[in-house]
Amino acid sequence: MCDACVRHLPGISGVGVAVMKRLPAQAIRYASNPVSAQIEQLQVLLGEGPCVDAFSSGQPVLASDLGQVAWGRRWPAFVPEALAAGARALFALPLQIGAARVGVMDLHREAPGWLPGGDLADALVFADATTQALLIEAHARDVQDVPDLYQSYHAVVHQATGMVKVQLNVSIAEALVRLRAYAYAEERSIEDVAHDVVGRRLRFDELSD
Amino acid sequence: MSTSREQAVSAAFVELADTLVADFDIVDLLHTLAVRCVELLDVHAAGVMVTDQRGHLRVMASSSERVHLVELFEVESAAGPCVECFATGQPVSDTDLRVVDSRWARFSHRAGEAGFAAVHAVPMRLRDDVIGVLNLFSTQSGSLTADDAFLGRALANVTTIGVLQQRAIHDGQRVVEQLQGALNSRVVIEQAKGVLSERLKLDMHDAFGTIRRYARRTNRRLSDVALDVIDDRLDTAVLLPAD
Repeated sequence: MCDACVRHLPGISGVGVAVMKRLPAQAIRYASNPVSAQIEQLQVLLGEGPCVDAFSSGQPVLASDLGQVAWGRRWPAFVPEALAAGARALFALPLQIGAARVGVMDLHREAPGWLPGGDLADALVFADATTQALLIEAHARDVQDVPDLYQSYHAVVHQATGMVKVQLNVSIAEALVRLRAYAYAEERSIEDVAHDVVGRRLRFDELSD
Repeated sequence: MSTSREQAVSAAFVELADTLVADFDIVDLLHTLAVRCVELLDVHAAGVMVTDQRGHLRVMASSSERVHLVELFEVESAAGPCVECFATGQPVSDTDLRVVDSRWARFSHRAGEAGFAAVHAVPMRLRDDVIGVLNLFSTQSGSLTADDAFLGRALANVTTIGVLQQRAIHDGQRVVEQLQGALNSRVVIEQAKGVLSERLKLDMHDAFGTIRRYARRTNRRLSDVALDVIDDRLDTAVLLPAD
């Protein structure tokens, strides 16, 4: 997926993905080239950088030019090293569905400049897909049980996720996966299942397993 | 305009403008906008949508958290006057939903069933940036009065400035960061509503109210309180008022 991301976005030199639970613990999951790998490693080592900020804030951090003074002030240890490694623009996208935060995807470019609208949209879609893959991998009993975890636009799905989290006494991330697995097994849409949960017609702690 | 309405309008602007400080809560701001619109204009429901940067409008706030209303906004965000409003940056109205417009037939039917006769979509824009749409629903057909149309635009503009935050106006990337963060915050809040609803046996509307009251009381952001609820860092007992 990350290879596809790099190929698809001509304005990007490389992609790295870090999986994080609680700072500072994190694992570098993927890097498309040595510069990406170095960027990820630097942030782990130094404990600062766009990736770190994006994860803790839940907001993307889009640094179109690391050479700008403000970024150097924000990450005094990271910026000189990143520039030396060959990264001039860095875009960190948190990998998350609400409170289920699984890591960050960093895209970098050797030349400074913004991420244009179309590329940003594509990068966000890739980030969404990566989020889903990581969550499924971490929480599905069998990856075959859960084909995807799309980012729903329907409030009822997120509300049902919260309810399932309490009913099963699991993390919100696992609740997301379990809800999706159930809908897939029952061949129903996730919105339908969510309506039943929120309407109190279906309780996950009453399902025989 | 009567004096008390004038006062109410002034108070609303002060409230919205007060958010032009660091560290404000976008989700709460948009919720305030929706609620104030229903209080100050001759409309019966209001919903705020923002762009998700991936080509879709997403519902960020609603004057009421009742499930049917929120879902009606969700239907509209897929096909409705708001879509055209966002694309053109101009206000778009459907002044009689009973005459089904083929561009948004499904929405017309759902809105009619819910008792609404007209919808007015007001762009949230600053110069060339259109960040979303303010949707006003009325149970009466027809256009907004000139006063209401003007006031609706003014409220939308002040809110847009609040979202864009003066210092970010010239930097499109900051806007993207904030909107993306706000969209995820909205999901966190929905997840927290579910958690609270199950723990305290509340409906979703009351669950939202509980979170919002606690956030105001402790001067914290809605989404921060919501995260604490989900991550079990808050004893749900403290969310309930003392009396």
